[in-house]
Formats: sequence, C-alpha cells, structure tokens
Amino acid sequence: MICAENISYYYDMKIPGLYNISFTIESRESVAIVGSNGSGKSTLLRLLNGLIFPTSGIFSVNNIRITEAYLKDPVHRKAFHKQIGFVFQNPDTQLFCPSVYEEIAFGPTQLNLTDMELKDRVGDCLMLLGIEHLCDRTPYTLSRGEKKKVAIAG
Amino acid sequence: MMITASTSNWHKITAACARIKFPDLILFIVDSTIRFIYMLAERSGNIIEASIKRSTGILHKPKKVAGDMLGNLFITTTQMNIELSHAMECRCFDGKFVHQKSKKLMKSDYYFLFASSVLFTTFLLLNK
Repeated sequence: MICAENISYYYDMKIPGLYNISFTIESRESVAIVGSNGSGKSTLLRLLNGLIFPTSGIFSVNNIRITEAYLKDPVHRKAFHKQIGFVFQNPDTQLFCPSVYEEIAFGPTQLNLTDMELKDRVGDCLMLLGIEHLCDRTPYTLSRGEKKKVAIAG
Repeated sequence: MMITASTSNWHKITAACARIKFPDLILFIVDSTIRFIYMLAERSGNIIEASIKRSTGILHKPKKVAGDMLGNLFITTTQMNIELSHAMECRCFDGKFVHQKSKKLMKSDYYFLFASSVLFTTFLLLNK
C-alpha cells in the first residue's frame, strides 16, 4: 500500500513541483496519473520511487515512512527498490550496460541471484517482450521502440 | 591494435578486461564515456541539422549557435548523469559492482590465444 499525506515538493526550495497532494494506492490496484504538461506527474513518480523526498508531508509504503534518512540505510534502500520499479522517460539514460542481456540482468545481479535463476529471469523477460533476437545487441544501437522495451524488461 | 579495433567492438574489449579482473569502476567509466560520446555526437548532429533547417539553409551567427549548442550539451550531460545514477539506484545498485560469474576459458580460446601469439611473434620478427 502506497500512501501520501499532504505532500509538497519545491525545486530548490522555491519553485513548486507538487502542492498538498494526498492519495492512497491499495495493493493490486492500478492507477493512472493524468495531467497537463508541467503539472508534476514525473516529479510525483520520482517521489514515489524514493529518488527525491517531499519538502513537507508524509509518504509511506506498507506503513513504513519513506524518508531520506530511512533510505540512507543500504538494507532499507535495497528492500524498498526491490518493491518499486521505475521506467524512465528517456530510455537512453536508463540503458548503460554493454549488451541487452547484461542490461536486463543488471537488477537481478544486484540481488545476488544464482546463475541459473538469473538466466531464467532474463530469458523470461526477453520472451515476454519478444526481444530474444536483441539479446546480444548493444542497447544504444537499438531503435527507440526497442530501447523502450529493453528499459521495461530491465 | 588495428586488428583488435577492426574485429571487436569496444564493449567486447571491456568485457574481456573485466574477465581478467580489471577494476570495474574504471571499466564502467570508460564504457560510459564511449557511450556518452556516441550519444552526444548524435545529439549535436541533430541540433545542427535542426538549426540549418530552421534557418532555411543559411545559418546566421554560427558562433552563437555553436556556443548555445555546447551549453545545451553540457547541461544535457549533467542531467543524463543524474538520471543514470537514479536508474542504477532504482535497480538496487548500492555502489558495489556485482558480477555474473565469469565463464571459464574454452578449448577454442586457447587456440585463439596460441594463434594470436604466433601472429604477434611473426609480426615482430618481420619488422626487425
């Protein structure tokens, strides 16, 4: 469960990005965030992913309050990022590994999975998105659509 | 060097370096630099193309355009770096490079090593 209570975020403590937002997203609930350009959708998503922190208000995941201090602990940070994924708007910035296989394997590798588990997970992702043929390609030579698929798989 | 450069791409070279325990951080920096050069070159090409098209073929004040373009590239690089670190953080990266277990050398690798050393020795002998 993701819960936000009166959260506000100001860029450089001056420019408002979000102002007094409250909502609750229950487990297994699908939510779409819709708004005009510059209304703060991306800022909100960054906040939900623990990349930035609210200037005021409370943000919690599964009743645990997510703050900068909480995520400074590597164990907490890893546990938090294991639960929440994020696909960046520009796939070029997300893809940094030498091959598509390594790109998809990057996250699971950080979780110290065994070679077999890793191979299975990457294989499943490649098959799910129909990008098995891109397995050995270098990400930055792919088309934008292919990059997006790899970013989602990763 | 020329044979290596023409037959292998950069990432394969860095992957080989990783296998022989080259420091990960250095390899990552080198790899990212190459990638950024490629992406920024592509971006500058697009900016130049757009400027020429928007100026209907005659580019006025080219020095100003070049300055603006460099400024734009600098800011873009900074933003890309921040996003890259965010992307790594989101995928549970905590500053330590975790490797997939390195593969063992196969029979064909030993043949290639032998053939390369023969070629290299021949090259040295012929250059005397």
